[in-house]
Amino acid sequence: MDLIAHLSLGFMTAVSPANLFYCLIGAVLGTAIGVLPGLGPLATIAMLLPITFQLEPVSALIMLSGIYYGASYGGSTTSILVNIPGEVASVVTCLDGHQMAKQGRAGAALAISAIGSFVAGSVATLIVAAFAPVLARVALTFGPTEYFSLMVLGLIASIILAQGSILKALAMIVLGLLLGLVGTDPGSGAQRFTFGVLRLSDGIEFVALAMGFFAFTDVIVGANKNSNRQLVTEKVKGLWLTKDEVKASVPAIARGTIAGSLLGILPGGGGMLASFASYMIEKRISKHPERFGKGAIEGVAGPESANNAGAQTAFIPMLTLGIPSNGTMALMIGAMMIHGIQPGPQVMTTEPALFWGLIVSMWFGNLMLLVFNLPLISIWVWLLRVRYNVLFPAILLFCCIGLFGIKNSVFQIYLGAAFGVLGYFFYRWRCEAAPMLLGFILGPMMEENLRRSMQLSHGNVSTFFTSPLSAAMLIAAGALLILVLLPAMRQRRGEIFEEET
Amino acid sequence: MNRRQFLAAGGAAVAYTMTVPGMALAQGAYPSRPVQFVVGFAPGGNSDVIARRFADLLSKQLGQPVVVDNTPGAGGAIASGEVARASADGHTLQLASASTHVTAPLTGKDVSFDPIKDFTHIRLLTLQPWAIVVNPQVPANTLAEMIDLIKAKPNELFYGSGGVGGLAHLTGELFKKLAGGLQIEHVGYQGGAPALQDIVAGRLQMMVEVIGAVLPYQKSGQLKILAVCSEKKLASHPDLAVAADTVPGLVSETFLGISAPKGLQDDIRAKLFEAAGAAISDKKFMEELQAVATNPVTETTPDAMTMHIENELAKWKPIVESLS
Amino acid sequence: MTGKHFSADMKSGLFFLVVGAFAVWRGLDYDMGTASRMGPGYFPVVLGGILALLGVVIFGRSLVASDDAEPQEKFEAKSLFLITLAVVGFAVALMKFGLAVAVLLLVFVASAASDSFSLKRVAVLTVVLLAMCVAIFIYGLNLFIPLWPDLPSWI
Repeated sequence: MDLIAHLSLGFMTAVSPANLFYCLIGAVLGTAIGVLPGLGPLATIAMLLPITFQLEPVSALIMLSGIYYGASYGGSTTSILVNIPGEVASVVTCLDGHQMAKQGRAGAALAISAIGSFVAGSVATLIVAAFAPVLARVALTFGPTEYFSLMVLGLIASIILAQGSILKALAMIVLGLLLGLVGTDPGSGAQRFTFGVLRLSDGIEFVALAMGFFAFTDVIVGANKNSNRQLVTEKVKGLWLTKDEVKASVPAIARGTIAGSLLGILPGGGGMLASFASYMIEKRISKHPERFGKGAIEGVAGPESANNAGAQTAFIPMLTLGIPSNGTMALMIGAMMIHGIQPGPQVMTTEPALFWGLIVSMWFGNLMLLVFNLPLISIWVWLLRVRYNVLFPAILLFCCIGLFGIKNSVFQIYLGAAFGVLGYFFYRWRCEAAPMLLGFILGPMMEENLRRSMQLSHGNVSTFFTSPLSAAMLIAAGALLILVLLPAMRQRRGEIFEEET
Repeated sequence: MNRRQFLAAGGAAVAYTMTVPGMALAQGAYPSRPVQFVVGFAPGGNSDVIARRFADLLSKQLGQPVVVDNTPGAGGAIASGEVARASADGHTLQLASASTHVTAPLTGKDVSFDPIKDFTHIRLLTLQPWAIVVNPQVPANTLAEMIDLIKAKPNELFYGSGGVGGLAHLTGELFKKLAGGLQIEHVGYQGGAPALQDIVAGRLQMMVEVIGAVLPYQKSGQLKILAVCSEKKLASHPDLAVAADTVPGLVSETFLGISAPKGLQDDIRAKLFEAAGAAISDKKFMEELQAVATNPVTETTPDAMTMHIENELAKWKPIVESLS
Repeated sequence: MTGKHFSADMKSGLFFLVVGAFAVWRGLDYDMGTASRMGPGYFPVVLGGILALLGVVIFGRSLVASDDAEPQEKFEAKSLFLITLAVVGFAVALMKFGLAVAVLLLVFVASAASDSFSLKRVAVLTVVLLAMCVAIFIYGLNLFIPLWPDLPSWI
């Protein structure tokens, strides 16, 4: 079989001592970068790029990929431990992961995150190996129309992220959409809501928003509470998973892997939706959706798997079409070109050792991350025993430096501080930040794809229904909206009744 | 000292004294301390990658670290504004480009610098022509055929570029104007990659993109390159038609160069001109640049860069005005 | 909920109404465009309108229906002020006086928000955190952060 021949060729390349070494370096470095709030893989890879000029192309790519997926492992750690989402996907991990940590189950949350990521990464690697060329064509069928409908579906689904009032969640989503529009309008070049501040012309940074609403708000809420309080309860109930937790996680990991693998293929923002989609699925099909947001392990296992699966399949459009699905992938293409390799469909035939070596190394990298992260869990959990009045200034400081590092500018720190204040009011008003963050990410993409669809169809709205993919997603979104609103209304009536008695 | 300089001096000096502990900072001779190289783009883009390679080679020439400082935002206008206000002692340099010194000042409303008066432009580094490409299904194999096709279907076809008001967009508009007022609508994207996806999939018919980015797609048959907007045939790709042969005057190249704040001393300027020339002529670096169809500028004069920017500003100003 | 205080829903409803109305007002300044070429004003106006409408509904419901109660805990005005001051102060000091002063400021001001303030603990924390920052961010990641104030050249 071709696949086996390819994989064994890849295996031969990946297990060379040098490549294993660079894979390890990349994975470890990526984890470290991911743990530090605000520092993304993009900046790290850019900084290391000059060093990789000296390496063999395949070694360079193996190391850079390691940083990429290592960072998403590390990012989950920060989300679970201190409730700081460093990237889009981690927002979801914060919801239940940090709640688990507060209940003394940080070890289990970290373990399932590592295991889920490993399983998903392994499966996704196989998918990349077996179906890359076929799936690349799927990616091309997604145009602006399909992306717009996907975003609508994602937005409707994000209502499920909310634990409280659905109306307020909707308002927060719309607020997020609006915040996402701040900056230069890509369609016309006009400045919107920038008030003449040039630094706002590239829009609000996701990290400033996320750190303000999660980290700073958290600290404001907790700073004055019982100085001897720890971030988590005294009794850390064992590091390992219980039988029930394993049972709940296995199907969640499987579903997350599938959802993540599919969405990761789409270069126009699908990967960002992977963890949200998985969370939505888990909460939707759970018999006890009320547990979500209060430390449900499926809410960690599913999204973490989805995120990592998506991170792996994001290589498909990059390797087979030469189209990057995110900034990091764009950088990898740059790295390949500097080494004289032209990305595109011919890579597989002209550079089989590189192509398959990279794919197999991803599996090794994921294995290394698992081996490397599981023992680290006890260290991380130990960190949580640090008293909160020692821990919170450190959280503030690392966030501030992370914010500074985004653009080498303190402007982002001021933005973060402002969102922290706003976040505290939202906290008191029971308005949840997670749906807003999803709206924030989707807003500009939605607008861009809507305008582009309308332009390319010469102003004809029916374009959203003549594409079968788009029509199917819009119908699904409508059905979902009804599904979400119906029980909510019923529940609402129940609540009123309850309060009157 | 202003903020950016201060930052670079502090951060880099600490890093530097750590790596070279025994070395005292020499007084007098330039450069006396690490040089900050401001790049107006996010880490990882094509220009950033070139800047980092170049900074590495330049520091070998100068004998002091040249540290890349990414200050992205507003098409590079934020970086240009900060460099314009920095002190002109040669320790703050900028990677100037068609974006930071031509399109950003022409299209931006809140731009706080003059691309000529506020700078000492030192040396051009690279030039890269734009290419006009079409989807393989488009029944046109030459630029002339494409013009006929657009004329036959006015306002029905679309062309894409990596951004509204960017040089690719302006090049497309110049093409429309010079070819006799063509009617093909522009679709703006955020960067070239998403536009490439739509043209490969056939949702766009035509696109303007730097030649280096589209060559691999031509190789794999996903795109057809109709013409390059260079002055003459590319030495590396003599098979590609030159746009100006069909549409006289359709020449458009994006450039990178090295600049400093205004008032840089002549001797420092001369030293930097030499050092930058030596760095860009590094054999391996030249090969890497040529691999992405970027031409290193090896023969040039100290005044050429200012003149080049002046010419570009004059050339694109009417196009920008016609857009708004 | 008694009618004596503004409830969480009332306040958030009003907030959404104001922000939505503001977005519509500003958005109308931008070009609305046509269906095939939507201008930069289209999306903000539509979204602002939806947000304002949601604000009205949330506010209106808070008058008639049951309500999300605000958290029982008291309003942490002191924390809100001090934590924000610590963060903003850090940003200002980083530019003017370097990382060392900025860290000192952040740790001291932030710790003042805690209900137990010990000078010794805060001092030790400052030193430890500063050392970590220097090791990770300045040496490790080569960030452009000045460590000390910009001293006169004769020092």
